[in-house]
Amino acid sequence: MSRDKRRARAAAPATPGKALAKAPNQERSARARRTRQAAPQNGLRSASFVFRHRAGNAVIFLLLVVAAAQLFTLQVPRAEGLRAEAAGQLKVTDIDPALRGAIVDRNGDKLAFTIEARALTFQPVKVRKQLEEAFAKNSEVESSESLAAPDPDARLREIAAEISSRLDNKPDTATVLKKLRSNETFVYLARAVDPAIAEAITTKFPEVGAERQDLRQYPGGVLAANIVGGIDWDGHGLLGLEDSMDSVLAGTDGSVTYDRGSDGVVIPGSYRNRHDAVNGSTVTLTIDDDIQFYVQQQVQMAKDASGAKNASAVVLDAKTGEVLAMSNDNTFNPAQDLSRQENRQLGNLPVSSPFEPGSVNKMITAAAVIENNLTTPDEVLQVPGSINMGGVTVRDAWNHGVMPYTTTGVFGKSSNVGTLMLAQRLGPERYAEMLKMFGLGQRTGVGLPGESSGLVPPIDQWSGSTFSNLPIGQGLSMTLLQMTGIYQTIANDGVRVPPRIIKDVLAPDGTRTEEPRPEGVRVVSAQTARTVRNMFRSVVQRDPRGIQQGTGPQAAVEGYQIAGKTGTAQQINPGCGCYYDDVYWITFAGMAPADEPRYVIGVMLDAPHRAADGSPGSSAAPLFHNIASWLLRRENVPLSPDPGAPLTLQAG
Amino acid sequence: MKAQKPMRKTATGEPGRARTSAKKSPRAAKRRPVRETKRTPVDAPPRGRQQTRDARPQRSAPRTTPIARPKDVPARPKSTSQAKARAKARKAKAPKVVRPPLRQRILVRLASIELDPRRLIARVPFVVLVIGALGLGLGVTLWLSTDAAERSYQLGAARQLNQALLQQKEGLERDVLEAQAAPALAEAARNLGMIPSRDTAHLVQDPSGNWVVVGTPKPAEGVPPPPLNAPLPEPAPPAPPAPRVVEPLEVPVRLPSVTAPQAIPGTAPALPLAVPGAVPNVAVPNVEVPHAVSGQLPAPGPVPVPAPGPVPVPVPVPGPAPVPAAPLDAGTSQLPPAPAPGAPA
Repeated sequence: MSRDKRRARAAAPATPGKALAKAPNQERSARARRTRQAAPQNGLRSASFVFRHRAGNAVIFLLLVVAAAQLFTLQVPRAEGLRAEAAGQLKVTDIDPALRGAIVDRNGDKLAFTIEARALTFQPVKVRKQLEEAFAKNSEVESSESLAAPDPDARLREIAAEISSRLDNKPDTATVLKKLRSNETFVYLARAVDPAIAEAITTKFPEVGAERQDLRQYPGGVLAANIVGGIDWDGHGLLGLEDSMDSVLAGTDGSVTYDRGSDGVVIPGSYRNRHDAVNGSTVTLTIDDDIQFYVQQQVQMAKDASGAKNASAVVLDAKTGEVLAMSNDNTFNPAQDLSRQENRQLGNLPVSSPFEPGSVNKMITAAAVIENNLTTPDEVLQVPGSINMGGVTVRDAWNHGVMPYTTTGVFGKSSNVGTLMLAQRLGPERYAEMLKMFGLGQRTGVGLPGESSGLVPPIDQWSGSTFSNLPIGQGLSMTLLQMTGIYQTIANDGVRVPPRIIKDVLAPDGTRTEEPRPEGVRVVSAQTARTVRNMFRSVVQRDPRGIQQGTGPQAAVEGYQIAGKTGTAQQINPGCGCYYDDVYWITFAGMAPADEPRYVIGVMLDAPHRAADGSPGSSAAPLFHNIASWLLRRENVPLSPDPGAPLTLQAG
Repeated sequence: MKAQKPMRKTATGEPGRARTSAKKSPRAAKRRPVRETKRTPVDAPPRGRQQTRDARPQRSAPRTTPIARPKDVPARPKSTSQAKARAKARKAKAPKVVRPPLRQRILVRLASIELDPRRLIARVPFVVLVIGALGLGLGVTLWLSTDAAERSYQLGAARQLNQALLQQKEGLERDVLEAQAAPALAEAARNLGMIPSRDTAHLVQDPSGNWVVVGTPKPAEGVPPPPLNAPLPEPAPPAPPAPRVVEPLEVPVRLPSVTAPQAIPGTAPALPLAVPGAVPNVAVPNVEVPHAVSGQLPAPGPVPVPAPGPVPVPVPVPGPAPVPAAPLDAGTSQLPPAPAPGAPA
């Protein structure tokens, strides 16, 4: 305003005429116009305004400084931690579980596989609240009574009834209802539900949720369960191959990471770190499920018939050393709850529990003496009733005077004295060497967990009596698998092939990895092996007069030549530190057919009261016979061309 | 405003035309009359000014300075009266707008409407084409997206069906696998009353063409073996333990004489040998031998075929040649005779 005035004043001289002309119209006098009035004190320049202005500025500045400082601390020194915290609140990582691989037998029949199943879930507190709210709202409206929102309690009862009826009353109605009414935030109503049933339930009752849960199936139940093992509730191996091959079978879970807002909505474009699940590999075993079944059944029956504490059997392929069947009795059933197996056998006795083999071990002595040309099968030995060796007197199982047994007869009649006479020719060093060559005292590396190496005393710890015990199978221990391995060596013309049970591993991408086959170990010459096989036919030789009869004629299979060896070993009495007189390990190992071996079978009965077929006596030969006879017939093994020449066990 | 329009046109358009006329005079001369006639008087340019502009100073060199924007307003009037006079003059000079009557205008308009489609098309501006293309594209897009949405529903339904079928297949496969597992098959056979055959006889032809029975043909007997998969007891009633699956195939015949502990091969070493002469007269070579059964090892007797040609029917063997009387239940005679007490030698 004042400026205008000034300009007007400045302009005035330029247009005097007009100014003069206008002058009369001016209201204010020149004096008044020329006098500047002091600015009023209440305006913008007042002292109070200035103070407030400045104070306000200061406050704003202060606030700005604080804000800037806070910004700085947030953005610079604390940025890392806050970012991580934010990511932690936002970030969600979903796991895409891998499908566990199957375990199949040599023909591809599945022994264990996984299918998808569902676990039914429920949020009792939350759902009950929702139901009550819906019910309350509905009862206010009144009009649409028929539409939805039933009484919450009735609804829960309905759910419980439906679930238990659909699941064959497996969780019964009362149990489900109790869970539905509980005050937990989250419960599992049922596990391992078939997906179709779960789908039907969840569509009918949206309150019930379904969660993926893989279900391990063992179609054979106890079939090969001692080998295959079982898994625990979270899907990891607990026993057997499921445990030892867990890394191969389990595969790798996939995952995807994304961000989610506080309302649970996925932030678009935040998917990252996506890893696809790699399913587990399929493990192929060398066992044949039919053979395994038969062996397992026979072992169970033999155990029941003989009253043994336990029984086991192993069947090996003579040429490749592959395990075709391996069984012990009373095997657990992995298809059922592991915690309810009570006294079932969870282990795998043929590889985990060593025992003293008894006379079965004489095979090593026989092979060694033949290999070293220390005797011939037909050499006649004058075998006395007892022999004193290393300070102990060893007798035969039956009393006799000096008998003219042939070498064949010594083994066919299982004469301890005769065997020790032959072992003396061999000497301890060569014998110890031979034990090692046959793989005793060492793990076979079959591929099963918990394998025992057995116990063979090292030669430098041998006492005087050791060498009078070992050749007849006492004083050392071996697993049934090792014992069968001895006979596999002889069956395979002297080449010991360490047994294997895993054939190959089939990766999910289709690549098949053969398990490395172990190199065979030449233990004795092929000629020796043939000779020994022929000698050991004498064990199953039958003689009506009993003179030329072996110890296990029940093992013979008509039409085939069978070679094998019975064994009876005294068990140790821990009470006195000595051997029991009446508690034995009864064993039998043999090969069928003897002229061209295809299968090697080893069986063991722990402390039986009767023979394997329930008859009096104690012999595992009937069990061997049953398995061998069935196996030869099933595999259509051609009959032996001739029954084999009769062997002379007792000369004269 | 209306009054100014012609003025503007002259201002911008006239100089150009003037120049062209200067350059291409023959054509310009020919055309001008046409245009002149076409043009309504509205366009009549103020001639006086054109003259002044055309009068350019003659120069020897080409002009380098920019051509000054022609001034369309004369110099500022010196006084109000002059301005008024000028305004008057302008008004008088301004051409009169003759507006034909509406009826005539409409007629002219109608007459000028062309119905020849080719002409019509030629007159369609490009914009219409573009708009048309856009519209068409929009339509197609809409149709496609509708279609895609429809199909996505179908796809979703098909996926769901597929998933359900896959699950069904998985379940059925599991059922099949469970049903064809060896224990299940054995159980089924058991339920049918089948029993396993033990030692079968073989019928083989020897090189000379004779049929030979190897083994002893006999009917399978006994009871089916117990099931392998005994179900575990339910957890709810913990009291009764699982029924043992003891179902012995044959009832063992216990003979009183065998009860005495007998020395058994392989027991001797490291044993205090508490029973040195306890059983002196038991001279059995082995407890495992007690079958005093006759018959050569596997008793394959060449069956003399009656008369003409080999008979493929395995006649129930009348009795192998080397028959030492005893019943030929050789191999696995389940019922052992009394253990021969003083057998060998």
